[in-house]
Amino acid sequence: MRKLSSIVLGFTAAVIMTPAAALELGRSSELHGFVNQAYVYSPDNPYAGTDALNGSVKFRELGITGFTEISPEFRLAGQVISRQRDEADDGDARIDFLLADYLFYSNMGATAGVRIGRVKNNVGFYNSTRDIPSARPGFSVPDSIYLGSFRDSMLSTDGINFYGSLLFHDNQLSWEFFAGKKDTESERLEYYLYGIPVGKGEFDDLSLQGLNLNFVPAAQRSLKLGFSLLDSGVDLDNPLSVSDAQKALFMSGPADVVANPHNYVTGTRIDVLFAVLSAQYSFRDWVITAEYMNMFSDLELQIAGVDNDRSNTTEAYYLQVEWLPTPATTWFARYEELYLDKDDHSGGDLISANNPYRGFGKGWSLGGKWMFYPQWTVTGQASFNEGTAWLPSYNGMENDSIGKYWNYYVVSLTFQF
Amino acid sequence: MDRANSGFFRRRFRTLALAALLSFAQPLLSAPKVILNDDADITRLDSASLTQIFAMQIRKWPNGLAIQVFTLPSENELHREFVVNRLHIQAHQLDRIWNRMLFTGTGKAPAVVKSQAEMVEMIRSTPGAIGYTAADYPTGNIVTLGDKEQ
Repeated sequence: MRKLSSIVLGFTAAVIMTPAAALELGRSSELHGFVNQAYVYSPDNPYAGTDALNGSVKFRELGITGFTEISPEFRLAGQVISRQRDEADDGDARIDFLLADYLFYSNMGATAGVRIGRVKNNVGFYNSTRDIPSARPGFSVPDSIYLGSFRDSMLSTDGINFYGSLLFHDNQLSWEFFAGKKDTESERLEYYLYGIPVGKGEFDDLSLQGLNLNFVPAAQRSLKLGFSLLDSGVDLDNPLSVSDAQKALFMSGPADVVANPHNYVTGTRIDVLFAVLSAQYSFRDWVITAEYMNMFSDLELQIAGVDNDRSNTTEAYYLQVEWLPTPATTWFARYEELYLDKDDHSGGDLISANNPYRGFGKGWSLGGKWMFYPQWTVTGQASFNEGTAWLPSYNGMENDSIGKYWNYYVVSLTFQF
Repeated sequence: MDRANSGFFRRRFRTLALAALLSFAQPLLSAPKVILNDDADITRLDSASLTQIFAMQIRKWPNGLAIQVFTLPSENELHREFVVNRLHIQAHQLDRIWNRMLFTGTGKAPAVVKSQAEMVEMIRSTPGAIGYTAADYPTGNIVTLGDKEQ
């Protein structure tokens, strides 16, 4: 079924790949899309699976997006995306967003509207477009802040989104508030929390609420400042009962709870407050971007009936410089750092035996994009990392040994219409 | 410094200041002009509003009519000149704003025309339309925003 849906999506993309810039369906509807095929070579550590150790082409993204304007105030929009990333993402087609948008107030100085449905979360400058190849600075968005472990949880909200913009004394402010729920990818969260999938139970519906503000001052139109806040919480559903955990412990001996605590998890609740400060400055052919992320998480963890609560602050930042010497070419360099536990840069409790350096990440990325023919872009990126905090997790990762220093290299080809 | 020398420097400074002023004024004099459909019913727009219109954020004219934005292709030299001199941002910033809106379902990019002749034709015939041409491109009786209004 999964294969079938991605084939259907691919076929649809191929059929509508006309030379036109977009497929206009009447005056007020449009269809767009993209296909991205990458080659990833990660000789030091398995990247989203072991295939990339010797070079892999199992990295593919397909997307179809469309909208229809029923009136100037009312529009419907949707997008379906399929992502294959070796073992980390299966290429299953899924609804990226599907929304109804009503602009209820609009004049020359202010606008306000509401969106209902599945809406992308504007968190930082890149979260809402992290799966759109043409909107990323290189092959990937900055890994430190847009951490793969939370991508599904943070990507969108099924709920309500109020948005608007305001012009005052030539200053521009755009704002957004949203609230709702989101299905979460349980396994990815389990790898983040325990370093290995939990014995029994699953993270299901996440509650989400957030706000996003962007400000362009009148005095400096080239500067954009952003502030994002995301508050979310999730429970582990149907965990192991305390009596079952104690029985299992009796069978295998008390030492096993130290060696394999994930097998004795009898309850987890995690609350997260995610804040991002963003700044971007454009000067002629240069764009300088910096973002800082601070994530406070409160974890209520129960192992074999014993509470083991802890709170933790994760911190990250990056600095990125892009140079656009021609309309078709972009070069970029980025430095970033991430510490899962701000007070213990080695990672403290978050590290696991096979992956002892997952508490932190530091790295350089260099790359470029070249639109060599209208709608066709080739992207190259080389990343040089120390620490594995943002090494993408995959099922079976606990069986592979993970090194401290790792580089990866990517070449990708994108078609967008 | 003696008087003769200070006079020389003052004259030199005046010449330099005049040259600088002229070179700053040059882009404004030849900056692309903004043209509007009659039904937009507007002759003045400040620069921030103009930027917000081309960023597809302001979506209606004061009389309630929907704004229809037309542009030349992003790589077109006149388009780039328009964005830098009239919107006071870079062309790639605008491209990124449009791309983001499209692929997050929160808006759409403007309609793209191939030439100035097509631009003039679309502005004339589309209610609520706004676009631009080179300063010296003949646009007949179409409403033009003057530099004074910017």
